[in-house]
Amino acid sequence: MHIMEGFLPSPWWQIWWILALPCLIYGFYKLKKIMDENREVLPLLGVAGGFIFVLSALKLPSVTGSCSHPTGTALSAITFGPWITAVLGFIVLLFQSLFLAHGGLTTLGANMFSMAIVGPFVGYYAYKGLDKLNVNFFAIVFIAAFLCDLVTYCVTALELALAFPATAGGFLPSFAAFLGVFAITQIPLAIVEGLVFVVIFKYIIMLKPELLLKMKVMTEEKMEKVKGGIEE
Amino acid sequence: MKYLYEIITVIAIIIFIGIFLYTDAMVQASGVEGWGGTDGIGSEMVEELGYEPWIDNSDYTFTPPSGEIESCLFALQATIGGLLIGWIFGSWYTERKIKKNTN
Repeated sequence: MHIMEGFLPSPWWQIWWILALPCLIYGFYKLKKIMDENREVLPLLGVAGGFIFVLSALKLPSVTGSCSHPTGTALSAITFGPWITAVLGFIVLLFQSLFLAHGGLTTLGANMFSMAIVGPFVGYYAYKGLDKLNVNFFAIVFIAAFLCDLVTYCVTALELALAFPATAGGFLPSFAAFLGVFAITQIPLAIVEGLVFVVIFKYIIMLKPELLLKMKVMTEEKMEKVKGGIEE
Repeated sequence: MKYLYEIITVIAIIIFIGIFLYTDAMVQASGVEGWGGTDGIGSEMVEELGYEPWIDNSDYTFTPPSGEIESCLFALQATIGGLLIGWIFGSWYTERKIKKNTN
């Protein structure tokens, strides 16, 4: 999902930076609030950040004969919400643009917007919405993680298509072409990532359920039900 | 089933590897060099339009001089995350065990 350095002309890289920056600043504010008020959830924040670090470093081969990487943002998005995820994603993307030549400082705004903002946002609200409808907890985690991953790549395709509309037909054919590269490769990876996060949530519920309750990921009754389901 | 989710995940990963082996055989047979990153393919599509990137990472930091150095840095990134996860999960596990033993 990285747009390489220099591959967004003016004014696009500035536009994405302007859109991403307020989210990042609000994320820092939210993060500070958690650090002041809820210090016991910090290990969970470390785990959430750790998974973004690990999963976004793994470039996996996919069905289309090309490689792509998962985003790993689901744990953070579901437990801490999209704003704090924006901060964690920013740290990872900054590391990659400074030392790995994956993305760059000018395209960091666009890359943040796709991986650290819109993807987690869609995942988070999918989680909250389905949670209200009382769908099975692990099914929702799967759907949310799947969306966090796939939507990120759709947004990348959108960003490139807006900056480089096709000479014949403009934006739409270009969007379809970029989606063909990014989204189709991503579908199998997003499925596997969704399942991996289901297992991760299972272990967190087994070891530290009180942190999920504290972050209001689910109600106590639902937690009891989920725990009962695991121990069967 | 106690390990239902683990089993589903492992099966999915095995299918994923199976698909890779099958696709790889097709890619090898076609003689085209495959398995490039989607990031790179997206950039190539843009370059085909005649676009020249106007700034490069080496303008302010550096681009990894070789594939080995790049994989070293990626491994480093994964290690940082992995250490953090292992450490915290490990302490949670021990904490729970101590609690169980004292009760």
